[in-house]
Amino acid sequence: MNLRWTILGVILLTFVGLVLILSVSLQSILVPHFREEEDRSARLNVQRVLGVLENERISLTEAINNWASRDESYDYIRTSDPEYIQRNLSDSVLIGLNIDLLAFVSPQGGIVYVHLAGETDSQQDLPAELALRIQPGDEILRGAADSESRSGFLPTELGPLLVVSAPLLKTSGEGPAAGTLLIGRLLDSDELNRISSVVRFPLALQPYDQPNPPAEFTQAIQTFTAEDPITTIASSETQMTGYALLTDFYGSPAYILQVEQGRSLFRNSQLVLLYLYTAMVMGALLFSVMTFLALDRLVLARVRKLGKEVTEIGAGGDLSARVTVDRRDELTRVGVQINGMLENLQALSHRLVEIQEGERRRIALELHDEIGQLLTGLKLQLDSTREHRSELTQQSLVKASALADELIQRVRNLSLDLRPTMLDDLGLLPALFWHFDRFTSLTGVEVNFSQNGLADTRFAPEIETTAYRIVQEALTNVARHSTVNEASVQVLHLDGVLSIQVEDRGAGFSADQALTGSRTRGLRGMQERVALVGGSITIDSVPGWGTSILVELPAQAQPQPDQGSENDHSITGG
Amino acid sequence: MITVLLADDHHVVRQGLRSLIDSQPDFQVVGEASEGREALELILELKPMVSVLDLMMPGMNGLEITRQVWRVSQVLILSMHANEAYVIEALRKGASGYVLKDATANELIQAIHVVAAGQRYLSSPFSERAISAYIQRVKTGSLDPYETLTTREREILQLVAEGRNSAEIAARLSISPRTVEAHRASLNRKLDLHSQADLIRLAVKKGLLPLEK
Repeated sequence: MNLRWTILGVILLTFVGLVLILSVSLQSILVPHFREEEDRSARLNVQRVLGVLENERISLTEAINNWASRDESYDYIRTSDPEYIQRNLSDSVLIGLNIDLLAFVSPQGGIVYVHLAGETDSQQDLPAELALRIQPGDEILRGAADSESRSGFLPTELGPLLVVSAPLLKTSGEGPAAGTLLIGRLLDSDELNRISSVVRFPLALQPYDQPNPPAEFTQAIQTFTAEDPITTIASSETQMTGYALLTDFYGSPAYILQVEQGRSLFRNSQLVLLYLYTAMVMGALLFSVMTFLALDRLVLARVRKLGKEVTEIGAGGDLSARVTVDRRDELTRVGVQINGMLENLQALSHRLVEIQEGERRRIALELHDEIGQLLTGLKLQLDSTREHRSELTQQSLVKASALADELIQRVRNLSLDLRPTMLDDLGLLPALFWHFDRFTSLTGVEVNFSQNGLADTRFAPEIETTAYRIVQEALTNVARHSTVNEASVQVLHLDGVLSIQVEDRGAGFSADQALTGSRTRGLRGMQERVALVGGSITIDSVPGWGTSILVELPAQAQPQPDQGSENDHSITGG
Repeated sequence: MITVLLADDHHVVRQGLRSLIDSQPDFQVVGEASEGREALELILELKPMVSVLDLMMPGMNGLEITRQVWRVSQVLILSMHANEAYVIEALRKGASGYVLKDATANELIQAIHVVAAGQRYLSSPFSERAISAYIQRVKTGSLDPYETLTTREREILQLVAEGRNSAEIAARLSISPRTVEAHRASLNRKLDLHSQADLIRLAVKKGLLPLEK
């Protein structure tokens, strides 16, 4: 797995992790918060409705207190004087106060007067549920000792009835109570609509005990507690219902108030969440992409490029090549370091060529001039001492002389192989001729040589050496690799350029092959030598076609000492 | 009596030569030198009939000494180099003989005799014929510029003359365009071509392109 994919993987993981963490924290913080807010607002609305109902109760209580603590009312329970009703409790008054029911009840449970709104005089009967309750001892009736009014709901066949019962007292507030005054208000659909238009929520009162209550009811009933008779349930995506438990006059659960409201908060929260999610994912995505692109452009691509260049230089062996250095940062420093190393390597390589050549020259000279001369001396000595000796001694001296000859020959060849002395003494052309002869005799490869401008021309020693070594190395390659027995060498001196071409029509090689084995060392050696003297080398080889090596060296002819000899003509004339 | 001067920087060689020459009744060693300049001075002063000079000596080499003294003394070059190039170089400088150091004593004595008589002497591997052949070899190496073109350059010259560009030539010969450029530059220089017109003219002259289509 390469660096690029690794980084891509890490960034992807980070991206997924980031999105996960952010969404979990959003879910665990924002969502409960919105739930709570929604619940609170729903409860508040239920409480508002309850407040309205409480107002109803208070207004009824005030109205009843107005009548119950009056001497006239106190007396009416005994006198049943129609005048009193006419004067105080006419239809118009009751309608004005929105009182649907009014009754005077004696302490014994006798109904003294009943008024039901909207009913004819003959139909003035209490609703059955209320009539059942009116008997001595029921809490709905005020006893003689009671001085306070009481109120509460009472389910009736007409609908939920808000009942207030007050003891009939004297105007001074003294007892004992002469009876009970009951007034009631029916919370029928008209009344509920009125309340609904005040609080601006659709609402309904449902009986607590139903044969088949809806599921939500059952759920609401289960969540009611004594301390908290209010609960909220999200009915759907768009609707939230608040429930409140209403007790009856006697404190038993009687009705469930149902307040329906929209879920604008929920919708807003959904919107906010969606926005946050989108923003977060987009942000994380943008961050990831930017990070990856930046890493890729600033680091990875350049590391790849650097690696490619280093590989190319390593494979091609061209130590004069350099890696690209175009910015100023850590990577560039690596590039600079590599270039520095290449430079050192190049210098080392040059130095190696120089040292090798110098050593060869030294050893060749030592072999030739010192050891060779000593051997020659030895041979002459042997020869000169041979005369006037016995036959036997002469024979061994002849043998010794032959051995000395052999030694001289070997030392001479060794010396010339290392470095032909004619290269220094006579110049490139004689050295090349000598090398071709020796090469052909050793390898059987014929050399077709042609030249122009070389006869009697000397160049700078390093140029002559380089040219000689190039031809030598190229021919060695021909003998080793090309499988032909013919090669052509051309050396031309034209306009200050010494061009050397060595061609064979042999096997050739492809660029890949060139990079392996002994041929590489040969080719690199040539490149090194050529680079050292500021020349150029072109290696052109195609498998099956052959190989052509073209080397061009800057070379000015060196001035020659005066040849001034008459013998010139006799010799060159041949 | 033939007067002889010996110049060789190697004591052993000089000693060997001397003992050889001294053993000959008609030879007389008049001087010895171990260094080039000393040898030059001695020859000019003593004017020996034959100067036996080592080819390579410190101070001044045998060839240079020969160039300066060949008029006053017959020079016999003593050399380790069995190579025609050295022989020719020595003869051009004015030497009368060239003897290899591994020659037999008899050959050396014969060489001194021949040279003293004013004739040329070359050591046994060399002959006048070999020398002529070598000179011929050097001469035939020199070429008509067109002859100096390599096979590759000729192919490229032909294709360029036919109007193909480097990229096409590279594709055709399966080599890189850079290599084609190198060959083109080389052939332009060899043939002294400066324009496409020069090239076409030459191609027509050499029969690479028909005159009329």
